[in-house]
Amino acid sequence: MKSDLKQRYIYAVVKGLPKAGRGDIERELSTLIDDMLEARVPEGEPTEKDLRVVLTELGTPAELHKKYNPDADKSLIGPEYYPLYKLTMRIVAAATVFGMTLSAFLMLAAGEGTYLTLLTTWFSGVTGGLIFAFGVVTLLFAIFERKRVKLDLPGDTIENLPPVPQKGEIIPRWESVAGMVLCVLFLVVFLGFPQVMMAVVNVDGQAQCMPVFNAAALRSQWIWIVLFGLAGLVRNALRIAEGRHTMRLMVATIVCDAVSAPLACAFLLREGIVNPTFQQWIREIFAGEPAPVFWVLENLNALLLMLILFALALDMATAVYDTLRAKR
Amino acid sequence: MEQEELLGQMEQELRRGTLVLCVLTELKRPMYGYSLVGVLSNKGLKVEANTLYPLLRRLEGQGLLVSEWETAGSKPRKYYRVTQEGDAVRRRLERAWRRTVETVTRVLEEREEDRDEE
Repeated sequence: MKSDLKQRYIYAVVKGLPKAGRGDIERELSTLIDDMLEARVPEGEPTEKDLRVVLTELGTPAELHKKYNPDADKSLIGPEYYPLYKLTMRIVAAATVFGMTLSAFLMLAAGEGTYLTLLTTWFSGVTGGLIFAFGVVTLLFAIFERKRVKLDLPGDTIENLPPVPQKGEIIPRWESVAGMVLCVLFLVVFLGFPQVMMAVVNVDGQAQCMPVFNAAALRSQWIWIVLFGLAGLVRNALRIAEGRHTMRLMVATIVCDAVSAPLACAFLLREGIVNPTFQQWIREIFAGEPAPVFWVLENLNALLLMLILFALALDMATAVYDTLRAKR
Repeated sequence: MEQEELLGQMEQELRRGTLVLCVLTELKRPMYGYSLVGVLSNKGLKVEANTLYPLLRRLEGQGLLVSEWETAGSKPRKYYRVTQEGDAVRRRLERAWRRTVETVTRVLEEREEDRDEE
């Protein structure tokens, strides 16, 4: 028998299996096929037909590959996390489309671009935004799955069943959903349409829209913006998963908020982030105002940063207060 | 689903758990995969090589079996034998199996008695 059918069969079985055991399986399968042929044809040379019968008995290479594959039962996002993954994906996708559409309408109202350019921008923004959102949420849950992040999902052991939450302990789902929507809106506006953050100024008796931020400078800080938005999404996804005020949720909230603070500083304190034309206009209009007022108006990025830091500190304090109250 | 097909599936489910116990029991003495297929078959347990070989590797990965290649003969063969941990697992599995058999037998016998009374 001169056929290479046996080698091709074995190759098809072991292809894609972990390298460590591949050679071993090859040798073992080769001997097994020889043994089966010997059992079928005790004397004389087996024909190719005999080999085909033996290989058919062994099953298709795909079936055998599956049985040998140690990862056959693994998945990117398993059934434990899938319902939450689906819910998060729906919220994030809806918020992305809503945010993009709202931004497009605001730009239209501000007279920025034609219908056609806005439609094209909207379409490419929604497509890109949805792909990005899909990637980020999937990556997040894939990490949950891989690291076996413990979520308070139904079906845990009987020994450590949590008490039925009282009214004050439950985190209303709408709160977390609203938080997620805000995070997505933040990402959409800061990365996709920073022009919508604008001031309406009066120039020579005519109302003109003037973007507060320098879009190019803001976009160059995309990595910090994405990480900041992601920290917010993680915080709210965990709140939905936990569903109540617990110690571990409090710790997770504090960690997310603590990480968010330097991230916000990283992109909002970058030099040149505020539109220089806007600053020039502020200087002209508010020249006579007291110095602190003048400074705040000229450095709206610092004002926004202070608001964000205040909100993060408030979120941490609220998390601690709610957890301690729930524990009592 | 046809009754025969359903029955086939149920029998397969019944056998699935028992195969590990039989393999751990037989591998007290070293054996290569195909000889184990023959030994089990002679004792009435029909098992496909494509099921047994991956199972042997899985049990080896779990530390219940250990293997060694024997190259002195006409063909290189991989001999498996049960480890100390594997033997401990086998003893516990055997006890669980005997309890299951007793329970199921009792249930079936009670059914027989009910039928006789009717």
